[in-house]
Amino acid sequence: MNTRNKIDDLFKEAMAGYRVEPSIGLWRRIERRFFPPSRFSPSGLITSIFLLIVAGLMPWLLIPANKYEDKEPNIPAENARRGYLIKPVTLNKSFTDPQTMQQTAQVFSVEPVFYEASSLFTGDHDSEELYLASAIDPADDPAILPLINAINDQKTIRENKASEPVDKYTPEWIHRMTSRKTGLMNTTITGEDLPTHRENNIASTFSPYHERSYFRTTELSLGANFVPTVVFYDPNPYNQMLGGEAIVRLDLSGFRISSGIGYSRMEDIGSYRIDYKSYDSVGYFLDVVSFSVDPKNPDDIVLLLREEAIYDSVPHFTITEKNNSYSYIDIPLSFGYSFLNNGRISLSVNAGIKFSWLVHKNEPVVDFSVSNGELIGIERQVPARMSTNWRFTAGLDVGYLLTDRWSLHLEPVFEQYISPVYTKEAGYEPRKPIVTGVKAGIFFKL
Amino acid sequence: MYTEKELIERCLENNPKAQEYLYKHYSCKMYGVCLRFARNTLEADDILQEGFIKVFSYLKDFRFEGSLEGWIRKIIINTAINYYNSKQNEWNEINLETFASNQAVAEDILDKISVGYLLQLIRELPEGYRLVFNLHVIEGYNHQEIAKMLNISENTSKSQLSRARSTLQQRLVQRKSE
Repeated sequence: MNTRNKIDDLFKEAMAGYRVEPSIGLWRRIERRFFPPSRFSPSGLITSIFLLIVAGLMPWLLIPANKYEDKEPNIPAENARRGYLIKPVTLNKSFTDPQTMQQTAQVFSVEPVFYEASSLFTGDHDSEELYLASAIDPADDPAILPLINAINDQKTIRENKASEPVDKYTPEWIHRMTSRKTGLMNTTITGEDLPTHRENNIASTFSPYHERSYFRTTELSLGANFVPTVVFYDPNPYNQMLGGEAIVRLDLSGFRISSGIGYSRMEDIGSYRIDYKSYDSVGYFLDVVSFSVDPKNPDDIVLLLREEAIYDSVPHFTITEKNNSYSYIDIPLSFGYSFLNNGRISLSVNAGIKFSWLVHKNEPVVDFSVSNGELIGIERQVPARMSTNWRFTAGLDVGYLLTDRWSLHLEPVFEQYISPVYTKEAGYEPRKPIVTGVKAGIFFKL
Repeated sequence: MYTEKELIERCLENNPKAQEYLYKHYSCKMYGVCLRFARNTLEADDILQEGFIKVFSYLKDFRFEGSLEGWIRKIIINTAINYYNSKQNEWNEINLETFASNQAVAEDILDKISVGYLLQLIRELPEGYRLVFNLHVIEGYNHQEIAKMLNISENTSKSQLSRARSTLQQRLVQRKSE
């Protein structure tokens, strides 16, 4: 065997079954470059299911509201209601405490009448005036007094501070009265027969709470959000994060401030480099087992040879991945402004910061054994996570009012880490990933 | 577990699990090939990535005329060649020289050489030497085929191979003296 062949054979044999595991991110790079992005995403699926459920429930949720909105303001004559009309809306008597000089009671004249809503005020008939009317006896109606005060003071009554004032003569105004128990309305008296009993079966959404909300400038709400998001570690692959949060929100004349506490959990690939030695065959040699003199040719010696493999402790490395999981407690603080509110639907922009505290991590131990060799060491390739993080958050909140108190919210969110996710390590760029996702939740006004 | 045919069919149906299985099943071997052709692991990563993208792109054209592994290997090797053609291509036409075997490598030098060291030797070869050595010695292509693949003359292929062998031989002797 000449040198050339020896070298060829040496390399050929050594490289014949040579296998090395490629770096962990390579498959993901290939996936992202070659395959369409519409691959299965658990958080995407969960979000889609949630939105489908919400969308599916909408018709049922909307039925109570639509029941009125569909019928009014054009109430047919047969739907004329009996109620109590305060005519005129003026104060007959006022009682005052002589010592404190504070008003203690007011007396109005009340006439039970038939009334019906007219769609528009034309102004052609003198008899059409703005009256205060109530579907129940005003004495039992806690909403009546603020309304009387409001009309006397010529105040503009609003649904809430964020909404536009409602014109008193529009169909919307009439609707407000007729769909609730008390309100101001443009009326036409259709009969003079005075009912002698109260009618208790008039459906209404008007409540003491709603009346209060006309005049309240602040509202406190409690809510819960489900928050599926995706964390992008450019140029590395992304991770999905699922979370939830309990929120307290204060609305102040269109501005809002909210805070609370949340929990989020995410998985991350832990990459480890394992260096080990294995005793591999790197060649062979011919061992002389015995020799003898060739009887036919005494000058020659006959060697009996045996092929012996040569083993060497060959260094190898392999990369292994573990699915680590991390749990955080989040404390968000957000400021917002509601720039659109039509009574049912509201749009608000929110921005703020979020503090995250790593409370639990699950990093499975890398278990590696070499049957014919020895382990040199295991090196962690991705640095450890920071125990705390700060994030900037922004979102566009779409709110849908279900009832006077309950509302659904859907908010696409964007977050940018202000502090790095991983601890600082040589040769590893500090990562400040971005997060996108959606908050879906329900809120209750106190 | 898939048969080769099932695996290909699933991949062509865009089944993500099958695609990942195919990658994981062959990537270790192919990465070993890439490491021989590349100067460093970054280049090897690039070649493997481009190679597997081609594998998935052209999988529909696989005719089952040979093994899937052989077909993938060929794509990876072609990708490696294209990679270096696109970067730089300086093939020095040199006269064929015969390197005598008087600088013989003693048997015992070869006794205790690790695979890692041999890989390092290959990767330290100049680009042309490395390509020809890999193609001829490890992959088994003849000079006519190599000349066609690399767009060089057969003589150049032979001379590059001789120089590669000579360089490797010198390095092995050097190691012995150390």
